[in-house]
Amino acid sequence: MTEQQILDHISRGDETALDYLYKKYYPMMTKMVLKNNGTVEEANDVYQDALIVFWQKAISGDLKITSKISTYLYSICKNCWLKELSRKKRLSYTEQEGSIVQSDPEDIMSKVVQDAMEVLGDPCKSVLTYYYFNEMSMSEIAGRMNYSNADTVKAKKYKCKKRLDVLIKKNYTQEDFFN
Amino acid sequence: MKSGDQEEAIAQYLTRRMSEVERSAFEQKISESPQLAQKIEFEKQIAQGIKNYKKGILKSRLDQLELGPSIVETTSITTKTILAGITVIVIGGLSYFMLTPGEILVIENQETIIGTDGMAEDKNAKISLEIDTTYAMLSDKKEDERTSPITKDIENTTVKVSTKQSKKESKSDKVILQAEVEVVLPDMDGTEISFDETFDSLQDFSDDLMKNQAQVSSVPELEVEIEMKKTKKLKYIYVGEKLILIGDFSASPYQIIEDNTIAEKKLYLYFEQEYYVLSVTSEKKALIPVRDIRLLDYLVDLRNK
Repeated sequence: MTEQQILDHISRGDETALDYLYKKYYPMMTKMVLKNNGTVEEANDVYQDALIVFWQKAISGDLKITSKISTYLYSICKNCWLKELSRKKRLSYTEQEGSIVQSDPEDIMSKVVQDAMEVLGDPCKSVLTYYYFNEMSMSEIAGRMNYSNADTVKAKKYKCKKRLDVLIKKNYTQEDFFN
Repeated sequence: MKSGDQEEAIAQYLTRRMSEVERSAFEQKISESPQLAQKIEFEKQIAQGIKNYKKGILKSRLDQLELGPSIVETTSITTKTILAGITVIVIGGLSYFMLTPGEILVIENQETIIGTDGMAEDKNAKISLEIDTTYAMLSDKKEDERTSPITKDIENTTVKVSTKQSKKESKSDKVILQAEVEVVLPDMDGTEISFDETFDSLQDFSDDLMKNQAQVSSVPELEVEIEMKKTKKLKYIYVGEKLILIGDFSASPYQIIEDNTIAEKKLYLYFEQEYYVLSVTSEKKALIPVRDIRLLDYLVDLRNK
């Protein structure tokens, strides 16, 4: 598969292209982490994160790639690993200082939303992820999900978002998020 | 602005669907309304949560992909080493000719050199033997042996035997194995041994070695075949005790490394400076080079042994 073909597959949301990329560059990307004191688990995690960043950029049309995919992916991987190292360093410092390590509020919020998403039906999950994650237009979502037009998707998305809000607020108040 | 319109505007703002003009105008509104700013912060977190939800799905998808056994080897090598008491059998230098089905395994006889000079002076002297063994023809070389008597002082003698690998001539049915075996001879009782006795002992010993070597060469009934294909992609099938290597293995010899532990048996391939893990598979599977540094170190060590 050529690089252009890979990007074409991604732009169509074909997740097999993600699988393909993952396998293709797995040794190269994880080696970088392993060579820099990372564990296999960390290497996997960093590579997956980097690949998803790449995927998201590519699928949302945000990707302005001037090099080979591997080069671009490698630089994302490197950044992700540096970020992780910096996080670990902070964590280690906090532990040394004897502070109580509290859960990151953003992580808590993310968990709340993810739990609520799990409860939604598949069409809602798809509409919302296409809209927020893939950043697809209403017409693109309509095409992908066989809806008659963009307005139908807009209405569907509105309903799904409302349902999600209800599920989130059912157990958590807005104040919980900000605390 | 209606509630629905405002939410739609927030969603568009957060997902960068607004034009520059719309964006500026909206940011102006945000700066004027703390309530709107707070609402946007809240929606931003929800949007991030949705993204993370999808990210989680993609990550579990990737986790489930079969990568081959290369880098994802996570077994603690140290633990394995300590607990298992590793038996390592290296079948070295199985030349690519061996891959032709139906070939008969023969160990070629070349020459036997016994070097024992000066051993009398050394209590723990080592006898170095280069023995090229043949099942049938060892005695043919008897008359060529020139050794000084081994004196009574020899104790705990270690004998190192190595048969060197050589490339088999084309169309020959012989396959030469490389193996290095260290054998500790039992203590001698102090009697002087004449040449003949020495030779007999050595012959017995070499018979033992032959036996050992035969054991090595027959490494638990593993049958290796090669399907020659002029392709850079190397694949394999490993099922039962049969290993089929598919691809162009003609460039250089390869080695099969067997790592036997109490818990399990693992097979590795060494070919052209790369190590590959061979896991049981009845379908053609790509050979993926090992990239896990720890596993590589372990395999290098294993191979050097």
